[in-house]
Amino acid sequence: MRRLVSLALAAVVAVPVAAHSANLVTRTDGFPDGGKLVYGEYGRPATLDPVTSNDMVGLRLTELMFNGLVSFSPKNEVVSDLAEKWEISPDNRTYKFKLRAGITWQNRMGLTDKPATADDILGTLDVIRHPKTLTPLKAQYELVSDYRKIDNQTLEITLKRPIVNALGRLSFKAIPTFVLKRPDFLGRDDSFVQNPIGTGAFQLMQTSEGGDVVMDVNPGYHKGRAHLDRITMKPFADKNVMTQAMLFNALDMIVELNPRDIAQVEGDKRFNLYPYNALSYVFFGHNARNEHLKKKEVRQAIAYAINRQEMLDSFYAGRGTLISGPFAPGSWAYNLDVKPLPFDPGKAKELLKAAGYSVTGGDGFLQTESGKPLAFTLKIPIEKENETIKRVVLVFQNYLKAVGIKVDLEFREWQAWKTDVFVDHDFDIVIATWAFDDSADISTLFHSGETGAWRNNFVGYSNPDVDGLIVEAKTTLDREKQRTINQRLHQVLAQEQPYTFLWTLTNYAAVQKKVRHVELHPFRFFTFADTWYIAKKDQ
Amino acid sequence: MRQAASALAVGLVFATGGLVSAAAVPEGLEGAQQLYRQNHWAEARDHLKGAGPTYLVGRSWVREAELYDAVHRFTVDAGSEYLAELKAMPGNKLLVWIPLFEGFYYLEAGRYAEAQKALAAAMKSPGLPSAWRPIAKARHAMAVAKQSPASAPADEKATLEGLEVDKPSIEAEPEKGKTLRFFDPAYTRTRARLSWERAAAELQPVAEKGTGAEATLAAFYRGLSLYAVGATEPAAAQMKAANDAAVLSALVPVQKVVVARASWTKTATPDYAALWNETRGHREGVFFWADLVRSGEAKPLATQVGAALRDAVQDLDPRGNGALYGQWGLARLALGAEPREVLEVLEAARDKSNKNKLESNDPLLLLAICKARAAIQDYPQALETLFEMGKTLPGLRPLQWNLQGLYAARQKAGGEARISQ
Repeated sequence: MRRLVSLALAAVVAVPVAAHSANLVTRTDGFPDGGKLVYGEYGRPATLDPVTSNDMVGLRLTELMFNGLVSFSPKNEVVSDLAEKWEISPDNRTYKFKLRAGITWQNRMGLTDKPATADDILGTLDVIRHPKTLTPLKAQYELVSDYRKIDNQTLEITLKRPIVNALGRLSFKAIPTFVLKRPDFLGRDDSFVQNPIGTGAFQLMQTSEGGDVVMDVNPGYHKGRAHLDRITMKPFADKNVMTQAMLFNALDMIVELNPRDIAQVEGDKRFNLYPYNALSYVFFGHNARNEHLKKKEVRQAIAYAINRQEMLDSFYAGRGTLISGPFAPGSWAYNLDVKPLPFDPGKAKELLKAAGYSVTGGDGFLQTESGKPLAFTLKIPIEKENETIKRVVLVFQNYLKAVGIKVDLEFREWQAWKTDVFVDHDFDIVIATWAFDDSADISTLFHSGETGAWRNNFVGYSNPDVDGLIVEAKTTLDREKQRTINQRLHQVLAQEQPYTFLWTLTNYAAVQKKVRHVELHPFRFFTFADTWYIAKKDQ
Repeated sequence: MRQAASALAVGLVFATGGLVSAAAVPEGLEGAQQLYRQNHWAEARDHLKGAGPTYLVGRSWVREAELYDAVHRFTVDAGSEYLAELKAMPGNKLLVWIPLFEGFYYLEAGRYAEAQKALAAAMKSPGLPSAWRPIAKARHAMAVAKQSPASAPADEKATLEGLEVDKPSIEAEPEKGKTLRFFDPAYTRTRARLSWERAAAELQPVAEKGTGAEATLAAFYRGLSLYAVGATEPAAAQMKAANDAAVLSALVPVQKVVVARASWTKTATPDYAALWNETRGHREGVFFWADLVRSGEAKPLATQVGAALRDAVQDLDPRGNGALYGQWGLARLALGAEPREVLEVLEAARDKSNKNKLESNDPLLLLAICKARAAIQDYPQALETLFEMGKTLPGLRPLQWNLQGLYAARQKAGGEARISQ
């Protein structure tokens, strides 16, 4: 926490936006420029760059400030972005990209009309792949065998073998590696992670001590100046408070509305609701390094011990759906034949007994015959203000108590939680949410090779069968085979319970009606924000 | 249960969103009506089991039949697209199940020449198991018959008996670790048809022996059910028995068209224009015409019907009229409207706080939203809704499988997963 505050204080940038001198593209959609948009997020990002950032708040911010070689259209087609065009070799291994002419890095921090070149793109790949760069993206680029610059505007990337969605995987956001403290890798001690420069439609102006991130329009944006003048992200520690802030006009938008508040906002004629982030779910993650949780029976017992439907109905007004495995029901990979484990405390007790927990200690909780108590610490990534999640974990604690498992609750601020979980692996059980793009790639969550610092398999789950299936799913070019493998993975992980899979919540973004032409990317959110506008009379 | 109560007794008691639990449903007709209003049709019927013929039971079959008709059409659309994707994938080219099921789907979609070609290709293949040859032959004959009405249509009904809609007709493993499922669309059609038949049967005693408004409406919906299974003349006769125009109100145009439709087979050129002008005044009539245009029967009216359909729900309160909005959306999409435009109107009629709940949103509305979402490749939203609907309504699995397959074939993302609080 101390580190974060000091960085936030240091990160006041406030450099006036200078118009680029050349290559200005004019939009022809006829919508007016001007106006400011303030939006609310639940929590604040640890970093603001696209390489080290690993959370959804950060992903959405980087979508505003950075670009990749390619992007996606509202119709989900792969479209040009930094790259104007590309060629694919007949063996589908080599991708040759020609960059658009005249793309420059944002005019900040002493840069003036500095062009984005092939060196920057390849430099970004170097940084992502460097062992000292701690990024969850690394696994995505292990399939790159070679890359080279042909000239300043042309580059070539070669894959070890053809892969599904190669262009999608090559949509990583480019950074100007020449401004990094060490140009070959990016550490969290580099000021760039808090004060980044991109090529995107909006550029960072200021981060406040309270965590506000202020971004102004980039006048030299290569697709033409975005219509809005400024976008500000305000972090909140409590979703209820965030909704109240929007209802009192302190916010124009909330990216993920508290499910409990949907009815209230829906009834307010000032707002539009847009469905968002269907491919996400909430889970309890179990640290497989823990001597009790490494036993499948204990993990299964936890799933049987809790009444998830009751929790969903009580704390989220039933706004969501229970899931049975590692994919959301909106995914093509969801195995419809696998049903969620039922609430069955009797079965939970049986499983615990079978796992060797048949003795009850003086405190009423189970223990091993050698007297080791069946006790866990649940780390919750919130301040204590959040009533909903607090209630969920209190009930979880109570359900487990009913079958003889002791759970202590530890509330941690988001950044501290991430360090405990992703770096130190200092937890027994955690509660969090995963969100996925539509490739249904869960390899980084459950492959045994993904357990290092800032890697996504923070629970340390290891199962050779699962590893084998993951590798097979990643390497096949046959999408139906990939579907079969993923559905098999669903089945296996539903049995194995490395997580207690809870639910997918009903997710809506709420946006003031004054913001128009709103189109959302289902995962990245702000992909089309350069075309959003506010009518002159509403600015 | 005591444990659940104690866990929740941490002092945190919340309302559960106003949904009525099974235990709270009143006895008898009142309870059945409540379940019916919540779109739990099968439960409503169960609630009245043994109570003798009632209008509500018949009407619930009509609602179900309308839904399964729409599910069938959506399944056929999605299935045809999915098979085309499957065929384009390397490694699947020699799989005999693809042309066979393509033939089945084309047949259901009314693409008879393509069905004939695909089924002929499947029959030529030595890989087609002998058990499937008579089925392929019957469907092939049907495709031929549909193109030349003089010949008698083949009957393949017998082959459908005893088969469950949610079970795949074939589960093939063309290579190790790859399983393909094929669902015969004739089963989803049969599912809808069975509901229509049950509706006609249940409504008959009410229409014949009932009194007042209930008898009139029973006669109308029985007529509609007979019409839906192709019994046009009995349908017209039954419709005529629904002779209280004040009760039928907005349904009168539908009644008129169904009655007129019975004579079309005997008339060389039906006078569409006159009937259209007479019946276009009510949205229910327009929806009915849209279905005739879709099926190819009233093609000359496509432009007028399309224009009338566009504005047909403009003055209709979005809340409480989900079924009409759903019918409207499905009709517009079937006639080729821009899906985003349709979706905007449909979403306005959706109770978003209970987004996918049948108790709050009419199943036809949800299905229409799914279809519009699928049309713009927003598969996650469509699949999420179908997942929730499938908890109450059986028979959606073929649609879910086909849509999942389309999504798998068309997804392009790079493989990102992000954590959040």
